[in-house]
Amino acid sequence: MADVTRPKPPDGGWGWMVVLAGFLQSALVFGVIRSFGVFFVEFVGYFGELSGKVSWVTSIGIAVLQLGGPVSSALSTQYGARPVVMAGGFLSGLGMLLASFASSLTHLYLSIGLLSGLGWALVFTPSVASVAQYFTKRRTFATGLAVSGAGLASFAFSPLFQLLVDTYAWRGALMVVAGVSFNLVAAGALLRPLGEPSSDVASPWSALSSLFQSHLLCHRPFLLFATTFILVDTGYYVPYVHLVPHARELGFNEYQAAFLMSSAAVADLFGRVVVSWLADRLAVRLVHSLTLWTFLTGLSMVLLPLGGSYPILMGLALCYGFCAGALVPLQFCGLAEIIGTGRVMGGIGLMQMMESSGSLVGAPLSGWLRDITGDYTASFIVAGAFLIAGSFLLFTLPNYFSCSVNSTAEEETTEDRFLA
Amino acid sequence: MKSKRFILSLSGSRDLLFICFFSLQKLSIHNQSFLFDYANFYTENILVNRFSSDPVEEKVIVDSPVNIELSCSLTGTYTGSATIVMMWKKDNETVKISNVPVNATRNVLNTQYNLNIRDRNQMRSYTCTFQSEKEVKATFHLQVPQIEGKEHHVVSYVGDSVVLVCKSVKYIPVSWIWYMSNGSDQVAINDSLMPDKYIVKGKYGNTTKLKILKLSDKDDGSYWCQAVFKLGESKGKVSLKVLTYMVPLKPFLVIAAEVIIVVTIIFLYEMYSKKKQMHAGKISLALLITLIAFFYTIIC
Repeated sequence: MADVTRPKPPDGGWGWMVVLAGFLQSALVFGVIRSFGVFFVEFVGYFGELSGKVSWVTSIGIAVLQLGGPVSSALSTQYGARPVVMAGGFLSGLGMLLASFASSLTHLYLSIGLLSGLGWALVFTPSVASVAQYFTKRRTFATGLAVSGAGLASFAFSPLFQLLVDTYAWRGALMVVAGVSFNLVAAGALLRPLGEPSSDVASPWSALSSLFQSHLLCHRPFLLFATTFILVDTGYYVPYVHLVPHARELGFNEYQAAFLMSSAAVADLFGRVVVSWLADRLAVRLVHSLTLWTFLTGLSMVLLPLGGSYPILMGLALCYGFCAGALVPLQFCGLAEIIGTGRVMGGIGLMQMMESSGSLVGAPLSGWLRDITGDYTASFIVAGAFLIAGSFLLFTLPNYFSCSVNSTAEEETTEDRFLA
Repeated sequence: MKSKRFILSLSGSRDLLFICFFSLQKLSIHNQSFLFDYANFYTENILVNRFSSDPVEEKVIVDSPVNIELSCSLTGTYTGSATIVMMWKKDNETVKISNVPVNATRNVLNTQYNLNIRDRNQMRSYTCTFQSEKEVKATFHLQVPQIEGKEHHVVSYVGDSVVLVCKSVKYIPVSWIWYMSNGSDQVAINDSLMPDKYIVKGKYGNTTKLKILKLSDKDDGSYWCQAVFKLGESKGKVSLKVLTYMVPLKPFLVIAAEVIIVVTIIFLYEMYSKKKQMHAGKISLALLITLIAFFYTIIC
């Protein structure tokens, strides 16, 4: 693959506008997805269908978001991040606009699930990769700020969506949310390209493979890293899905259970920003931090069933939230550290696609464990075990135990050393 | 037997303390069994302190035929005339009356009134009165259960369909009837006459749903769901608002215009900062200002 001389990452300046773009993107993609529960209730009432069938609407959207990662990465490697994100923003808004005219659940699967999901896929990967490309010394903190949008947005959007639904019914509310989603186009416009994308390739096949970064599949560190996150994703989302039912089963009422989730979300937000800021300050390698926080997340999940009284359960939920939030910026920056910023665009997409296998399996597996054992203890322990296993897998990365890797020179050294 | 006790306490003139309570004893509807099963005894107490000038009233919710014992109790030391007249009235008509000599050592005076409620004529207000020089009274209002409609408007769109729901979970009505407003009147909705406009699901049971198809402007307004009980009816109100698609379209277009403006500003700023060194930068700035003015005039 032809080496590209990249311009030096500015580590500031316009980079902060790219962080803002990432923040907006995180807010308008994941903030919207997290607050979609308001519409879920309306769909069940209007279409008269079972909640199982209606929940496919967001499940399809999230699945397309993750599986579309490589496509999105390939397109942005070829054409640059900006046009891809702007197109993605337009598609996600268009999907919701069409959904407001839906007359059956199938229409919703196609418009929100497929079309908006594809839009979200085109927005997510290039935005995160752009932040990684614009920063080196402060990369983790910039990424942490960029992904914190989701947490803040889900606070604002849940009551906002409810207000829109009360005023305009779900059709009108979807129309307004579509307009709000179009702001992703504006966020994409902020992604100024850093130098020209590479365009000299020998043959169509090598062009395609370089677009999808498929050679990364032969790259042992990348494979180890991605496998780690398949394991992590299998357990990561279990508390999001099963903490509230578990709390209800222990005897707490709906508001107490919902408050547990809200508190975990706040802790998640703090985890993202605080740990990413710390990571840049301390001279600790990212993969070491990542191992620590993955292990702690897994541990807090294993300990969750021990929470018998409300204060203990709340404390454990806060721990889980904080550690789970810390993982997010560390994951993307850890990847950039391993494969180099030149290939981070394609790498994130490929990793997302591989991760989706874990997240698709995780929640159903946990639900099945609960059905055969009778409560959620086994589910949480198994989910935590997956995370702990993932953290141990990180030990097998090459040069794991070397204490210092110079991050500015690492791009050249990693590309030379790992290109085998 | 389920027994409910509501205790209303009234401090009357001087030393007069007036406590009024009733107990509701449900026997089986077919009056077959008079054996009271004390295993299911359950008591509910409400204590209200008021002065004699305020009327003491209590609502009693009854949905189906039942035996009721209304009971009033007067306590306190009393210094006055020799007898007290205890009276029960149904609305304003006296139905039971008794004279009681006042015994100085006795603190509590009780009077009961038994009712076998079978039809709606008995669903009235019953007042117990204690009379000597002054009169103290308390009233029980017998009512069918109130139906709660929906507080907020139900919103829907022209050409769409909507479902209006009414529930009565605690007391199950015999049947439901839906009404729509026609000017100041309420007109019953007959869904068999207009099957492609109105569909009523659940005429019997604790939930009823009225589905209105092919909505138009004229369907905007109030609808009533009437629950028919053996001893009376009660209505709940649901209001429907029918909007056109133009209503949410306006905020959508405003936001879309804002997006276009922001994107334009970002691109123009980029072109401007690239050409900062060249004289063409001044032209770009003029272009920027012109475009902003252009969009401003479009919106307003």
